[in-house]
Amino acid sequence: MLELSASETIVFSLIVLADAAAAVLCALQLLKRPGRYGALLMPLVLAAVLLDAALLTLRGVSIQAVPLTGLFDSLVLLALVFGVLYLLLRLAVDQVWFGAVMVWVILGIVLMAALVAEPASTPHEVAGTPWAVAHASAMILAAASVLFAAANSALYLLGSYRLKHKGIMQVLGRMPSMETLGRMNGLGVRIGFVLLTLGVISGLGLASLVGPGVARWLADGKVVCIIGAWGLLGAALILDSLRLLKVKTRAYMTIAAFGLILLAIIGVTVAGVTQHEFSRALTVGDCEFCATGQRAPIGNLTT
Amino acid sequence: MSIVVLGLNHKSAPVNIRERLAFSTSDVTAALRRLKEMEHKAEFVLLSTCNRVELYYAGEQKSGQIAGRLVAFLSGFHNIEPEQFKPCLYFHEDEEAVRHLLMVSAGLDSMVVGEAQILGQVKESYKLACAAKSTGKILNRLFHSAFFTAKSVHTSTAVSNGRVSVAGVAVELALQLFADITRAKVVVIGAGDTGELVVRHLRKAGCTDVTVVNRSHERAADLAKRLWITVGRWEELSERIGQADIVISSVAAQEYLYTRESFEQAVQRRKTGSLLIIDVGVPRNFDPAINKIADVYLYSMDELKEVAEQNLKAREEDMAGGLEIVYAQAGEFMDWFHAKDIGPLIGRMQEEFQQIGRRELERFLVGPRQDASCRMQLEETVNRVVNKLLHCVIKNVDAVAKETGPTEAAKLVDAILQRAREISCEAKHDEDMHV
Repeated sequence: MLELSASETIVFSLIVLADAAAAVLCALQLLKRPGRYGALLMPLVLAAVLLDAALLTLRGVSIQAVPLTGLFDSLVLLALVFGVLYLLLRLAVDQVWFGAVMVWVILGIVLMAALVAEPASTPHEVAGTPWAVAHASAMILAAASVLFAAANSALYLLGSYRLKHKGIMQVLGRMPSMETLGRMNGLGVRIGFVLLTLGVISGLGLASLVGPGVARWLADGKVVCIIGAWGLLGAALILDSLRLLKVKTRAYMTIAAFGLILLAIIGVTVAGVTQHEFSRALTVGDCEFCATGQRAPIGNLTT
Repeated sequence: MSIVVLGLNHKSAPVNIRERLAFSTSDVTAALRRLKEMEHKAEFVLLSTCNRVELYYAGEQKSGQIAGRLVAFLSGFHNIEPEQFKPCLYFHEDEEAVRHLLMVSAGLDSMVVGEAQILGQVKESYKLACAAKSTGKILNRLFHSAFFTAKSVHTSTAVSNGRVSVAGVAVELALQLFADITRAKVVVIGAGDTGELVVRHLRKAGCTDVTVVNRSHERAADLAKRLWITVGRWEELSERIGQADIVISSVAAQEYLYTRESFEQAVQRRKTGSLLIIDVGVPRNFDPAINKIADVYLYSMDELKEVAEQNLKAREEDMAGGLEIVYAQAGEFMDWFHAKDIGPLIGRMQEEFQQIGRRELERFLVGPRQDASCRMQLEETVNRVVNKLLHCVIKNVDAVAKETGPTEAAKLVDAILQRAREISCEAKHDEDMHV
């Protein structure tokens, strides 16, 4: 976070504050009285969404391009998409547990973004191609869908556990019905799978047309994780259509798929076992779409 | 001006008295008309439910007078001696009466704390009173304040949270499991009373596909006829359970109707979807180990009862929060109630002051001064002085209203008005003596 410019640091700090305040309110709602703090939640999440948009705009202006080249920007966008999703769903599902999980997930994304915060960098030429645009859009929306499905899975498993163990008081009126949670999980899985398929296809196209070739692209750590998640979701959908899968098992599979996506977004990048970058933080030759696969030393960045 | 309530409820009167004093809808209208005939300018609302009969009055009569008249009215209308019900009556006036209505509307005075049905009944009574044109400025405002208070209490406290009956909790559980309860397939095993009560609640919640299965087909058919549900054969029970979403069991049997093994066999064809089993049989009809089967949620009578008791306890614990809202709203209403009289009081005070001014002027303009050419200027001067002094007084009344509330301000204006009247009377008396 210290690497961000002063204005970006201020806006990002406000985002963290708004999301943290919302998360605390959710916890208070669960511990004390449902409904008492509810009125403050919507404005806080709305403020965070607007600040997310402002931050991305600031970064876009600073590089004079769409700022979706780095992990930090992708996470901020993911928080924004999830925030909008929360605001839309809040109109239909006004349950404290549901809101709480959504808000905590948003805070989690924002805190992850804080870990990988870096200054905006100009996009690589490749990032402007239709393949890359399609790939990035599909992957970000897919991540949001799977995140949504995973949040519903977590709620489903929590509700199921509580109801099985007679903890009715912690569930009744605090979360949507188990059937609704199952349906929302299914919807998230279906949309996530379709978008991931689009993302993988566009990624393959990108790799074969302007990149290092399909084989090398498929061997990248990040891509392996994404393909794993895609496979899990696909298997869940097939088994589900054959009525061979219980909602509980699908919930576990969704969470596992989300874990893989998280690993692809954060883990693999932080561990440095990927060359899946669209920014100019690497030399042209270093990026996965080019030949060498070596990271450039800091201070020797070429444009 | 006073607001009073006279009535009786489940706490103060036994059911035989309550039912004798109860009013049907048509009785309410007739009673309100008779009350209006009794006192044209007064306002009345009559609330009559199975647990209470209350008469709300707002008018000029003092509380002592009106209480007797209302008792006589109840006695006359129902043809029952006052001595028979008088000890069961309660009587509240002004702020107490306001608080009482607010508490009643919010369900804080109900047999089951926080129940929302009473609010509908209060609204209905108010509607009837409006239709009978027996309400006015005061009761209109009071009842709207009561509706607002009830809404605040229900939304900002837990007094109306959770069901407080076994059947209610069972329905809530079903709603927590199924997105659309109207589509749920319900199988009722046995024709016991508690089972019937749960079915009634489920039917009320919208369940339409309900089948009753009993060893005695006649009893099942009888229940089905009463509840408008279908009857199944005892031999089909396992098959029906395999397809059901909700099972309610209230069979009187010494052994389990289903052990885990026999139940697993019954549901082996079942692929997806949750199954809720409400076992209200004593002893239990389902082996508790069945709860361990995936997607099966088994609840016994005791478990549901425990939830109902917890809900009731939570409601009672949150009563203080509800009372806080009631007291605040009652205070606000009383401020308005007292403030509404300040305007006319100030008008009267102005008249009294001008009267004093005119009298003093008349006393001055006697004898040789009677034809004074400057009479008009003198009158204007006196008026200006009176208005300036009055302005000072009004400013002070304003300050008192801001500092201590409209009630105190109204008292101050009333005291000044009394004093002005006394001065006016003294002046008149002096004048008469002089003449």
